[in-house]
Amino acid sequence: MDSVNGGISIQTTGLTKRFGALVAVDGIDLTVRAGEFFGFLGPNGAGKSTTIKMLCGLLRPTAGAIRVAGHDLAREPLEVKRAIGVLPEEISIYERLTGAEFLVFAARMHGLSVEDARLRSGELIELMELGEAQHKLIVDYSMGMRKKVAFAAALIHRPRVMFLDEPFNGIDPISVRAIRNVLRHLLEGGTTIFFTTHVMEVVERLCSRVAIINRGRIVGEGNLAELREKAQTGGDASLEDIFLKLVEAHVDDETLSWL
Amino acid sequence: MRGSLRYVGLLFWLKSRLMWRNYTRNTSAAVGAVFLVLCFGPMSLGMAAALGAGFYYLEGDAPGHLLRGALLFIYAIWLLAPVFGYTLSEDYDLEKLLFYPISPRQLFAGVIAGSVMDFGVLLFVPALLVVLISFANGAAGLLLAALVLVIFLFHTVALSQALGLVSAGLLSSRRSREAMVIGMMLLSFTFYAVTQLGARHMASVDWGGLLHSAAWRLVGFTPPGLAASALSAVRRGDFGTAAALLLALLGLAALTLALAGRLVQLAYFGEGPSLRARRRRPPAPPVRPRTRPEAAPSWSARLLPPAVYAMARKDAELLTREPYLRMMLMQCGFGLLMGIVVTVRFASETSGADVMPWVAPLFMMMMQAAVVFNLFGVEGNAAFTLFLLPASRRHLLLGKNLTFFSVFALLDILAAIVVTALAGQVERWWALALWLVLLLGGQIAVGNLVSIWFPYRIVMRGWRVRPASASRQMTYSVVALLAQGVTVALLLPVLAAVLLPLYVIGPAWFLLTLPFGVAWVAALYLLSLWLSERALLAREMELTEQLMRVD
Repeated sequence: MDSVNGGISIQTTGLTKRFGALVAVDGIDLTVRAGEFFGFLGPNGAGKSTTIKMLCGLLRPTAGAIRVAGHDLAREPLEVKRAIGVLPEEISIYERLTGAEFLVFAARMHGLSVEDARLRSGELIELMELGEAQHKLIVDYSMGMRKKVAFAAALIHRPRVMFLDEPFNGIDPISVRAIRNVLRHLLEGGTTIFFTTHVMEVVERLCSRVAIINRGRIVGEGNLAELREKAQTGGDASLEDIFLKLVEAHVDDETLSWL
Repeated sequence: MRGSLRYVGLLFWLKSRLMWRNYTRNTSAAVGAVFLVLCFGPMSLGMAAALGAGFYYLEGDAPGHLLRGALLFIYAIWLLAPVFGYTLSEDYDLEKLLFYPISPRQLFAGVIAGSVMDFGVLLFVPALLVVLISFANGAAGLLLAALVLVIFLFHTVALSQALGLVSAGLLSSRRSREAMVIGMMLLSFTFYAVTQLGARHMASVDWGGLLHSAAWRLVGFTPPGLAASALSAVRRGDFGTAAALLLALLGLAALTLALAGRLVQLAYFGEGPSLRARRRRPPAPPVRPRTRPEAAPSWSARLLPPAVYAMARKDAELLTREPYLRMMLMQCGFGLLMGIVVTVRFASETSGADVMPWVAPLFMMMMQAAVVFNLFGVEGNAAFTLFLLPASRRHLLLGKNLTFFSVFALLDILAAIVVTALAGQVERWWALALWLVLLLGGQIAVGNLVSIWFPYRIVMRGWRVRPASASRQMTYSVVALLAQGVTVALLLPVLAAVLLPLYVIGPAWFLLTLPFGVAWVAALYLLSLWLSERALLAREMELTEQLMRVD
């Protein structure tokens, strides 16, 4: 458990990112407690990926401070990277390695011994049902298999905080179940999961708390009840209703003239 | 320190695996590697042999000067290559390593360690071995000399890689890239002028004076100069001086590593522009759709089949928007400018004045060929959508051909007018223009087939075009060169049809030869279109796979 900062796993203060004149993330303050399954939602282009990149140390903020797993990201970037596992939206793996080679490589890059790396990689390959493909080059994998390898690589060093960007997208139901089981075990062990998806039902089912970002600003944060209150929707409003209300989306019933 | 060494080892392993897989899984990379060895291997061995003979037979200070010159040459090659957009190393995506707890400096040290497997280093190994053998003096001397060479090489490769990072990362914006293309043109002009002057005055150079000049002494303080001085000191047995110079080199190498680490930081962590080829822009605020009166369709839209028109229109838009095509258009302009300079240079000389207008546009034509020999290169992931379309493949090709033919033909006509005017032969502009336009037609005919059989995805990194590995660059260069040769060979009858009436048999023959020339190219194009349509249908899956993949 992260006892640092009173069990706070991720904390941002005034986090801002500007690209020239455009403000992609506009002074957001976020607090995610250790062991929390935290959903981070927003429409396309709202600033989700930019925020995640900053939280992972892949993009330098224009202003603001970030603490992840008890470390100040600006001062201890490598400590943060040791503590986190990232499954990015665009899978970023060396396709000319085999699945097994890549997992051992990822484990070694996180400082695991060769024996541990092989042991964990073997278990992950079995869990992800990649046994038959483990000695094939990743370039020959399907999209779902690539995602599974990337997920396994993000997990292999047993991170304290996991950033998962659309983790279930393109994965078969059997592997989704396997991954959800792993995530449950991780949560029980105190791992924090920072999770983004556009599938509201998944967030509703898995996440203990949610933040909604729109045009670079947090427009709602809390559990479902708190969000309903913030959005001033009824007691039976779904997360989708709340989301649409908070991001001020207008879904017209208009149809196409030629249909 | 132990952690750093582990990372260096891991990155070395990664690079060797990726390189090996690149050769075993990619025919073009393997063929390119063979070409590289066949072309540059003898040059590398020749340089080593020449240096060996020089070090053995020259006396006094001469071997030291020769060594300084040789190291300066190696240094210049490594530093200029990335500036001109060439890569001497096998590239791999560093961005994929940023998820791991590795510092930019460790990352860079790993990259440099891996570069000992690169052709750029391997080709200089024979020469450096000859230097080592010639300058080592006893066991301690051998160790010192080896250390000097390793540190020199480390510093050189690190600086080269750092320049590559600057070019790729800091030039990812359109403005800076285009500014760089203009900068490159100026640099190329300077290079041309210097080599021309050098070639003219080579015989009259006072080599003795040069070796004692202030400039040459100044070279002694540069990294290759320091390395050469250290090695000369080793040869003399003056190990104290050699060790002091080695320390200076070591300091420079550490400084380079720090600088390169900072550049990695700038380029990859969002302090400067990202290294990504494309950065997704957050969407602009919603704009209320404007109702515009419907414009009448243009004559081309009415005349052309819908798919041909749509394809031509799309590629015409891309010509001004796609960074690679914009760059190639600028390079064509640069080619024309080079032609003008060459024409002006030879216009006063009676021996070259007649020939120059016919030779001057060739550089521009090579730039045009680079585009038409890889018609689908900029499609990238859109290839998937393109080949899903039920449109006739002939129409797709026709659309692409039409755009490039229209734009380049205009440029060719302009080139013909300008160079013939400058050469004082403006009355022949139409003959040159006709030849260039027919040559363009031939290039497009050959280009259709080359584009289908040897496609490669264009991905800009800075102003460099991926595939960036030295071996693959070599393959595509050889393919383009062969295709150019085939085009010229196929068009020899057309060249004869233009030149013979003009210079030998009299202009009256144009009545017969010109229709023949036009018909010849038209027949070539129709044949190519017929073959390409079938080839495209048969190879669409392979084409999609190759165009969508970024190695």
